[in-house]
Amino acid sequence: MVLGAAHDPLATIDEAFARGDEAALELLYRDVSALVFTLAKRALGTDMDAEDVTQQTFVSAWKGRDGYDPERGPVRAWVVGIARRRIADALAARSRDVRVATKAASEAFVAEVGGREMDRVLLSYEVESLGDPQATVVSMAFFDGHTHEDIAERLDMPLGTVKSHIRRGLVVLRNRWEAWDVAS
Amino acid sequence: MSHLDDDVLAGFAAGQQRGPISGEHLAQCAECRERAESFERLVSGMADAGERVTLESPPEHVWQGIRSEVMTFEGESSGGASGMPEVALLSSRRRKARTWSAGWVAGAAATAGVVGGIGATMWISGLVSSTGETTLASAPLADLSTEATVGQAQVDVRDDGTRVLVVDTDYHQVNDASIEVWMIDSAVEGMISLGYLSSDHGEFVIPAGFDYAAYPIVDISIEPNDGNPQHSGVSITRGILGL
Repeated sequence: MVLGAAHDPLATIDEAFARGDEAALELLYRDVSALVFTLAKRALGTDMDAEDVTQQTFVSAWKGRDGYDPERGPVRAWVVGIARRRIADALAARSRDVRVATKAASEAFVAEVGGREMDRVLLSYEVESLGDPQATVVSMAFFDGHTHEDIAERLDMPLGTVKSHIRRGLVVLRNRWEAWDVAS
Repeated sequence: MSHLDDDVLAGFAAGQQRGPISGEHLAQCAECRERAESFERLVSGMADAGERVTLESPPEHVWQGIRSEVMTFEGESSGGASGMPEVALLSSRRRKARTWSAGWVAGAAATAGVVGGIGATMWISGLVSSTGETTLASAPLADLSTEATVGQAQVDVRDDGTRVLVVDTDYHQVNDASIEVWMIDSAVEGMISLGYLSSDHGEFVIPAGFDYAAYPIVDISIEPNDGNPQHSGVSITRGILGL
């Protein structure tokens, strides 16, 4: 299989990664490194800590690739699961440094990244993956709460086109969104 | 009636009015109701999330760090060869060759031309070393600035079948740069990086399935720590495996 020649590289990336194809690691990194880095930075606060977590996450994923089963979900969801644990580890280590009750702090954090904050970043990533103009239209409609008419006027786009971008965008998002639950 | 399309259900979640027929179907069909709810959860998830987050990419050196750690790991593990298909490697690496200066490429191609001549005499077939490894091929390494012999590179097979490129040469540390080891094809179109040299001796696992015989040029280069994964074009040492 020639990864670079595939119509959608992400469709083959799960299998290629599981097989140990180094090119798949690079494609995976290009796809989800911004997601991992953003999650880490929002949780940990500094670029340096977020860079460390990002690096650890991908190195762990590669070394532990035997533990990944493509049947259970996309590799991007599996990697974000690893990232969440790394973020929790980093926070726990930090708590130990300042002699705060480690367990409580890391549990509180895991709950936090598992909740709204996590969903916000994941949804932003998925909406961005739609590509424009769908990403902009969906974002205006649901994140910002604009009416369809308002969006049509602001983007100078026929109302019917706005509505169809929204419907098609939602179908793609729903399919991808459910994959996160399976694997994380 | 038949089930409702995803497109229709997505429209309802986006605020479109339900007609009486689809409304009645939804009231009776658990499957469509479940699918409708999945769209509603998605929409309310975005509404609850508030602002869309602009994702931030990590700086390029993070990828460099991952790459070198992964390479180190493969080099250290005895069974680390992982079945990397050659085609994928070529497609992802070939473009790098095009960025080289024309002079470098011409020089390397000229060197590669030697393979058919004296290269054949370098072949050491099935030699078993004292460590129980079998040597498939070897080559003297030349310092490109002086043409002096500065050690040797050889392809060994370990007991478990893993093939490794063993490099013995004079290692000099360079400020703000790393010493990288490559295998390059004789057309100088494709190459792979095997990892970084950090002492006079280095062993690099050659990925299973990788046809090393098609990549006979062993090249050692100085790579600035600038996050650019491409070959710098600054080679210091080179040898051609006699196959």
